[in-house]
Amino acid sequence: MTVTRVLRWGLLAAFLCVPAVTAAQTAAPAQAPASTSQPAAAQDGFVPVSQLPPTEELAPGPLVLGAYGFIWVAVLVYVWSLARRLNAVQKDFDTLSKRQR
Amino acid sequence: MLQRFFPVALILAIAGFVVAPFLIAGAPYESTMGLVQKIFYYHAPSGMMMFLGAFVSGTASAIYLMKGRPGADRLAAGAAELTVLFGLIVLTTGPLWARKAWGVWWQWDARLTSSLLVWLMFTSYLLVRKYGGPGSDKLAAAVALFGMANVPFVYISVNVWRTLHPKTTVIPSLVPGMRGPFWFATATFLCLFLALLAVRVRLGERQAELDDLYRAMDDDALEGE
Amino acid sequence: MFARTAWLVFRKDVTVEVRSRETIATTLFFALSAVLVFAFALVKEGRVVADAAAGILWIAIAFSATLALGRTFERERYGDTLRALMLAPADRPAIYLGKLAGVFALVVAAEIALVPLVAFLFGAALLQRPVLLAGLLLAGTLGFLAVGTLFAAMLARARSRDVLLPVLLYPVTIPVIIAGVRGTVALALPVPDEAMALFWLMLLLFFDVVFVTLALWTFEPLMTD
Repeated sequence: MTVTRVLRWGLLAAFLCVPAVTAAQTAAPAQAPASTSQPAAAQDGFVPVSQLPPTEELAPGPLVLGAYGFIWVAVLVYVWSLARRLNAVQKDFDTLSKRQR
Repeated sequence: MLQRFFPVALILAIAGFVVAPFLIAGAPYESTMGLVQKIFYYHAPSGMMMFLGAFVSGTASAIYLMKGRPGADRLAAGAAELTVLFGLIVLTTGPLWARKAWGVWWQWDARLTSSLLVWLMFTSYLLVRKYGGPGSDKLAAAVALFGMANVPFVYISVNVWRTLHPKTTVIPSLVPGMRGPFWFATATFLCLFLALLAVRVRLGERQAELDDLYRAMDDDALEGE
Repeated sequence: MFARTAWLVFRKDVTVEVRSRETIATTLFFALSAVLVFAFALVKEGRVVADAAAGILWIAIAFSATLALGRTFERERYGDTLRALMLAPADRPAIYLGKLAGVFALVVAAEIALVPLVAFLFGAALLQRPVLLAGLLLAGTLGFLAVGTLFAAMLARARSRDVLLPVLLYPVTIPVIIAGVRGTVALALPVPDEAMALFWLMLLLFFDVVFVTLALWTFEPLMTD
């Protein structure tokens, strides 16, 4: 079944891309935002990262990696679900055609 | 027609996803948000794909209800699944970005609320298709149609509701250096969307063929008695 | 013929209800219990949080309306009269309108008792502009029930109908809740904000027009197997 075959190759290629992505992430210098101890301007509800007090700082790296990682996982899980369903239908077809003979 | 584009779309999508990280890494840093803003390059296109899926599903559902074409129903179901997938991506990557950029995980502004509601409505579409019993494909089509029609109302009402509260810019105006990677990522996501939709619709077609086969067999069995 | 059919269906539902008083009694007391639960949940230092009265009112209406919808179609399903209705040589949209009018009358009757009750329990000045408030309640209830009647009719034959109705209904009717609550809050202020309330009323009326039209349009294809 050409579609499943293309899907399998696509999945393999996608897996091979993961190390490329990770390499790109770590290559980009993880900039620690400069922080001043200015009180946050609560007016806008939007505080520039540079003005957050030191206690409020979150490391951006895990967040970025988590986001990109989640995207990869979600798409791959969906592709796997599609492949599984296609295979199930194909199997049913085979069973039926065997029965008809 | 969609099937013919599938190999092209898939190859372009894979190539795009290989190249995109390098473009994104090379893009300038956003002045106030730093590294975490890089999430935007995949987050915003995912949001666009979610709304595209919602629109396709709603329109196909309307056609299915009016004309009764089963192909439209298959397209609607496939697009709904993609809406839920990309919606899940948007609603997960958004808070990860927002936690760092705004200090809160979530904001009840028009765009976020509409996104959440679209995602909810199309998740209920999938639930109805699965657990609704007989005739659920038509009911699901109505859900998709009503859901799509509802989006402007949600947007307007939340917007007016929230004007009393501070607004936060979700997407800062794009610096030229960022536009390239952003549109590249958008094109890549579009190719991915089309590729996945093609496969999903093909799955629907095969399931329909299988159902027809079963029905033909039942008919033959009945005639044989 | 169309109007007559709708009127007959409406009259049937109202007659059954007046004679048995089943749904109105249970709906009203359910609404009261819901209001009490919210009251205990939202009380701070012996007083309810500001603006909570409007929210509690509309949540109680939403929950009660969902129950009323379920009851109305459950009765049809139980007596097997739904099939009879569908087999009748009547315009399907007319049947929809008749059912809508019936459940609308029921929920409005419950609201007439509910609004003064909420105002009394929470010390909220809800009744300062009674005409505008009535407008908001009627328009909001109509919008909520327009979508609800369609979904409930379709779900009457489904397996998980009790849980699927809220799952489908609440996301689509979020604009109604937002508009209703914000409009009621505007009217409950020490100096009622009539302009704001009018805006929300207009939005609700627009929602009603769009969704009643959509429902009338899709009722026929939906109920046809």
